[in-house]
Amino acid sequence: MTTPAVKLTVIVERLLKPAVERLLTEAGVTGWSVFPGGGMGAHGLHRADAAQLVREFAIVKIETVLRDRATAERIAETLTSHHLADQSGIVWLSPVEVWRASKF
Amino acid sequence: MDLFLDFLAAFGRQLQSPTLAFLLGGMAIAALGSRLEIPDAIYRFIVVVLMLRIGLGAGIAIREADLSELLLPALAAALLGVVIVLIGRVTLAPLSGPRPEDGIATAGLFGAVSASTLAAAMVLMEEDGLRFEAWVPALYPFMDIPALLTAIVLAQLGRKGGKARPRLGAIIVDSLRGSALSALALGLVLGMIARPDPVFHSFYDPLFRGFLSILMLIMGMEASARLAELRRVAHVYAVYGLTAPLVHGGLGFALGWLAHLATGFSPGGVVLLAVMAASSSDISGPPTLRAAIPSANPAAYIGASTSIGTPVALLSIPLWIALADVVFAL
Repeated sequence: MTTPAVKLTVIVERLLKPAVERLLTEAGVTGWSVFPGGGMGAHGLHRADAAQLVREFAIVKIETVLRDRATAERIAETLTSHHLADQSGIVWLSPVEVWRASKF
Repeated sequence: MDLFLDFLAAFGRQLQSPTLAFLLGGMAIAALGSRLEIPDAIYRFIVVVLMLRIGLGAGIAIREADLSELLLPALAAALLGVVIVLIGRVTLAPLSGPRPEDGIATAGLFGAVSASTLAAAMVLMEEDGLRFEAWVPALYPFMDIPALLTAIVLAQLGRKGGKARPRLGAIIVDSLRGSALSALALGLVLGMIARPDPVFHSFYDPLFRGFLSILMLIMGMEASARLAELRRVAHVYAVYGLTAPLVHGGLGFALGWLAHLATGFSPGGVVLLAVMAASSSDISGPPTLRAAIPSANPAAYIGASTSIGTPVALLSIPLWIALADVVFAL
């Protein structure tokens, strides 16, 4: 039996990870996952495995699932207007169906 | 003329030393498009081991040192950090186009200190038999933090509008908590209060040169890779990257020499101070500046520092050693 929910996905440089995590905590989110990654974007190539002098410029994907869409939108709004105003990063919401709704 | 030929011969010998040869090799192999890569985890481990080694070495030796001698060189280091950024503010920033923050952030990185350049200088000086006071590497934060703070304050002064300003205290704490400085501080404290001599002599010290050669390879590869970014910003950054390390190193040497006259600061210490002044931060400085001066373009300051400033600072180490040979008649 599944329940509808919203997945909030944030891709930022590691530099902003503490700010995103603080925002999630303040919004009452109790759990999220962080995935290291690599790719190509406005700041050129982000290497995934090879040595890079500045670790804080590597990208991470932070994902969390919420039952309440309004909260997810509020977090995304604060994130884009405050932290991503002059730093790079992307945010999106997607509808998901979760098992064990009590976990969210 | 003889002096110049001697210098050229010494310089040529130093280029063949493993430290600088690996740097040039890394630059060459990346320029040739090689797919050689060093895993990120290994790179980070190497930085930690090198900084622990430098900290432990200094900590062990500080036990017997007279720390009042540290005062004047520490003041010189802090002054250098501030002055280098101010020089960049009046020379580079006005020339760097419509956004002075790019120039200020670049000057901030050049005022800050590169751990890898410091480690390379220590190895080259050991090979040359040039001795320095054990606490000299501990001058690192005295130059690094004032430089970054000066750049951040200058950028805030020039900023219009009332955006939230980062607190300077928080920036100092954040700098000290960075990976490289934490490892250096931990090594220093352990060296002073514990007895880590056996592990220092059996593990950290023997690994130092080998690990440094791999770090130099990475620095060389990164310098080549970042050169493409630098092409997208004003040429003045390339000119600054080429000349600033020599000017800053000269300033560092001069202040060190004054400390030598005043309190007998060793010639080796003078060289290390010059190397710290010539170096530009490439590991811990960029994220601090990125967070505190978000409007500055990282392609400008990281390009100028990593692709040109650091190789020039590394290749200029023999210059300061040769200068010390002449000035102090070693």
